Amino acid sequence: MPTHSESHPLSPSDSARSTDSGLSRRRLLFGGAAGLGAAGLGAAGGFALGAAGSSVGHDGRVGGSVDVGSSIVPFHGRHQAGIEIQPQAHSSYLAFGLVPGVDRDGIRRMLRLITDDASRLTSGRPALADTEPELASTPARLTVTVGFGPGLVDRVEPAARPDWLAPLPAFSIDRLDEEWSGGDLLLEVAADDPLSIAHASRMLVKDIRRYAVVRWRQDGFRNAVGSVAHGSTQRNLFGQLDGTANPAIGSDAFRRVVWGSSAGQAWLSGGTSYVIRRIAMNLDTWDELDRGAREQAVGRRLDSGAPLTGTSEFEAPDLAARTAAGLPVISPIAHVARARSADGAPQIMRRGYNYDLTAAGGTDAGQIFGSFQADPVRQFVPIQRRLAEVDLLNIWTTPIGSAVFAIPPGCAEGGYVGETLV
Amino acid sequence: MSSFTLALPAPRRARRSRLTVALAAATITLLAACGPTTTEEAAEPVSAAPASESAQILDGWVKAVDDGMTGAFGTIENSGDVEITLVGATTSVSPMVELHETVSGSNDSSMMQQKEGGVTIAAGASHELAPGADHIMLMSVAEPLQPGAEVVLVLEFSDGSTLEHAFIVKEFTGANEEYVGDGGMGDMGDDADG
Repeated sequence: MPTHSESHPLSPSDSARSTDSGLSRRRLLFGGAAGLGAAGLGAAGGFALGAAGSSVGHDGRVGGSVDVGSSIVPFHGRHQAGIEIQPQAHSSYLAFGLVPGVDRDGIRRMLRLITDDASRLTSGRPALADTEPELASTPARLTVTVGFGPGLVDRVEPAARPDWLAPLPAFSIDRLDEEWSGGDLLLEVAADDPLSIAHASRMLVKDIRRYAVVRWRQDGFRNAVGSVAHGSTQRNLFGQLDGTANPAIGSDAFRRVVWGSSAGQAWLSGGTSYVIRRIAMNLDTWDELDRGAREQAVGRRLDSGAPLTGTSEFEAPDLAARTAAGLPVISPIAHVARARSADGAPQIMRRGYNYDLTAAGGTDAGQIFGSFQADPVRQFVPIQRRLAEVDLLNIWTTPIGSAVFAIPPGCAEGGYVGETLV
Repeated sequence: MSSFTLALPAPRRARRSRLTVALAAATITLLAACGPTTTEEAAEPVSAAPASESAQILDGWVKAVDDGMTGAFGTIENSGDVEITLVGATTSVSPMVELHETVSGSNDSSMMQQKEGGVTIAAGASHELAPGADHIMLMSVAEPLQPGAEVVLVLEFSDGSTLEHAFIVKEFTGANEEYVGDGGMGDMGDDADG
């Protein structure tokens, strides 16, 4: 299986460096074979279906008869819900700052409230003291995933903070804005129905306001349920299939990448880490490229997602392949070449959601890049370093936000998320 | 855990009923643990079991407050064969607790007043205690009730039996009905709203 990290398009934006590395504009525009592959969504759909083992009908729809609203993802379990799952159509990321003076007991009370709200709302029941209980009746695979930033762990028990729970090292391509960075607490609220998200996030925000206030919020979307086969790789706003190389749900690779050893912190057993970066995508300059140049930038075909050396999406790219003229078929500075790990094995579990806030001020679009991995310093940072050094996609993408969270394990009924720490 | 979708409507209903059973079981366990008490002067006639054994509290919560008055809410279910009547409650966080009802006051406002005769729940029925309706009133909370904390209330029924239940404290900006009592007027939990 190809690396999954390769489809992590979004990073560096150092066009000068890319030019230096010898890739002429002309080659960008004309280089590479741009054949139109035929592999379609059907094959992609079959892939995740089998891997997931979820209740997906043979027609590729959730629940067969499309009862999207009543679909439920169980909240309780060893791992938190919302991670080993085919991503819902919508996701809202809410990062909070702890209110000054809130201590361990306050954090525990807050976590109990979050758990109580989440366990009720994700099962289609109103929260306690829910003033709009009717809005809770369509969970639509609602999940609430809780993450701890460095500040929260430090306030509870500094010695329990894993080394990786800190801001990522600075990358040359970063143009980070505080508005989209950091945070003491993360609540990712995702569902196939944005109204369910709105209600759940409203309940959560108001229920914990004594302890934490919203610091940033990012809303993202993917295809609607039923638009494409359940589990198929989705497209980003550049039109690229994005996430091809992810480990499959339920696979050994997923277990190793996401639920593997979490740097020796016992409280994180069953948990993982979550990197969330906001990547601005310059749709206006991307418009200037023709199709061949776009495919060269990534090293994959736009239609099928196949590497330029192959015919199907999940084929491994052949980075040694040459054209008749002796040039690499896939440029050594194409995204797929730079993101790939030495052995091609997946290192991270990516989850991208698109955003588009284009308004009177101009184009404002991109991707909320999410990455689950047991240890971000060991698994994510090396990839990002390679991409920051050089990656053709950097010309059109710029990281403008970055945050790292520890994702504690799930809890059983009667327990609360975070009980292993707080 | 499996994070997979339980997509079909039918299984979902089944899941809910299992949940209800689980909740009922939990409540019964609680009852056994607390040991409901029955006094000699039990007022109810032929009742087979104490009211506290027929009653379950679902979704109990209390409005957060720094001090003073606040309300406790939830649903009382009566799974027994005879009606039961909630006549009072006690809690360590407020020396005085009353049962209240909400009535229309002058100027289109709602007003709370003590509910004479308690809250009666017919056999097999349930009764909601809610803001703007019947509720349990904690009259003089001394220490802050913080969101996410638990407040234990001991509910008292007309047959003398009692039922202990933990109510979760929630921040809530509603439930601001004026209170008309012997001690003058006030309202619930304004200082918790800031």
